[in-house]
Amino acid sequence: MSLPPEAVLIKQGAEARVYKIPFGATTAIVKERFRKTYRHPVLDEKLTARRVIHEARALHRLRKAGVDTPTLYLLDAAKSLIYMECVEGPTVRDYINAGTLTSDQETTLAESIGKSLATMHELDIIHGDLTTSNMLLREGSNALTLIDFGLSTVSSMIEDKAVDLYVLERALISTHPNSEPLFQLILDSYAKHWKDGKAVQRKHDEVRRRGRKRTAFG
Amino acid sequence: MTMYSLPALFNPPPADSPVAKVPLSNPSPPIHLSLFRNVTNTSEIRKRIISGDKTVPECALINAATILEVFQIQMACTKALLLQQQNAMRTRSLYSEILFNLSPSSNINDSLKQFGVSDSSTSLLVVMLGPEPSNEVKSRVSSLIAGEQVGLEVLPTLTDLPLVSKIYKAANGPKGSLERGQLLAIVVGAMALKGHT
Repeated sequence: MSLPPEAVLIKQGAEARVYKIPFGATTAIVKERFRKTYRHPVLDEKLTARRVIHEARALHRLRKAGVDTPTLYLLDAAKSLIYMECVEGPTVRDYINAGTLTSDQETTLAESIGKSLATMHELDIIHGDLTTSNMLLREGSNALTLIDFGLSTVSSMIEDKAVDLYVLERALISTHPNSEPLFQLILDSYAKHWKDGKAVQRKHDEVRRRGRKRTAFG
Repeated sequence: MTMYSLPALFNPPPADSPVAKVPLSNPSPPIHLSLFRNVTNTSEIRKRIISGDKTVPECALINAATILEVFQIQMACTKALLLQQQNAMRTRSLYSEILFNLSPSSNINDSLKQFGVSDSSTSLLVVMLGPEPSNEVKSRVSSLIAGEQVGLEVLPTLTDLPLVSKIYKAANGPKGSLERGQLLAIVVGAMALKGHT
């Protein structure tokens, strides 16, 4: 017996709701960017539509460059929906928290995170919300899969890329105790995988000293 | 003909009353596919379609070399139905819209040429939407196409992979040529983003 088709809400954020739905022979994730009643309706519609497309484009560009992301299935711009592949597998957060990581596994993990982030930044895509919950390990291939590009931006500035890494560093340290060595491994792998990696790494040192926000004066 | 279902689409609940479970109300109609290989009369078929021959059954005739998997067709059909619902179709009929949706290009003419029947195509995929076609329609399909009808499981062997990579600009992958599953992901993504870039 099959269950009646229905979408199940799995996550609610400030910008969007995420549903899991049966999708033909498979399962899909639908991400709905809902309207903001505090914004002027015309402005809201424009902003929302642009962001939906922006997010879908980021997913697709990364996939083309060989960074694993959920496959984009369908875009419903009128209803602000993105249909995408439902990637099965644990989050990196759960994987680390299971506490069974050998040092070899930790090195492999850091290597693949660094490589994915390097490729992403090479495409001038800034994720905007890098945390270990936004990284999955795809079932089967174990490939590092980046998700949730809802806050992503496009920028070629070293500064923005360094801040992206800094956000990850803070997230890592606050969710995983004693993860400083892991982050260092990620940085090393990152620097190794693209030509501007070293420059971003240097900038990251500077961001680390002063915090995420740049001083506005002087 | 082999029947495939299309996924039901999602309609977001009203913003002021979000709920944890949303029923997917409107099931999409199914699609019916037939596959022909070693087709010898493509130029005749094309002429008959262009001249508006009424004996040609209503269907989408697709150059099977451009198709990786049935999933690609399912997505093109789903998008066509969605656009029809929203009165946002770019072409005149649902079937031409399906052909058009397969293409990453927003040029209608080029898309129809590339994915539809062309003089050079040798294998054809017939797509029909809705209830099971009658025997009369089925016999009109088989009398239109001079070729060998084969099961859908043959479809992957008819794909022209270099052509697909070229059309969807997927050749610049990390290692040159891509694994089929990876290529499908790029193809489906490009189809979804079409018109939005």
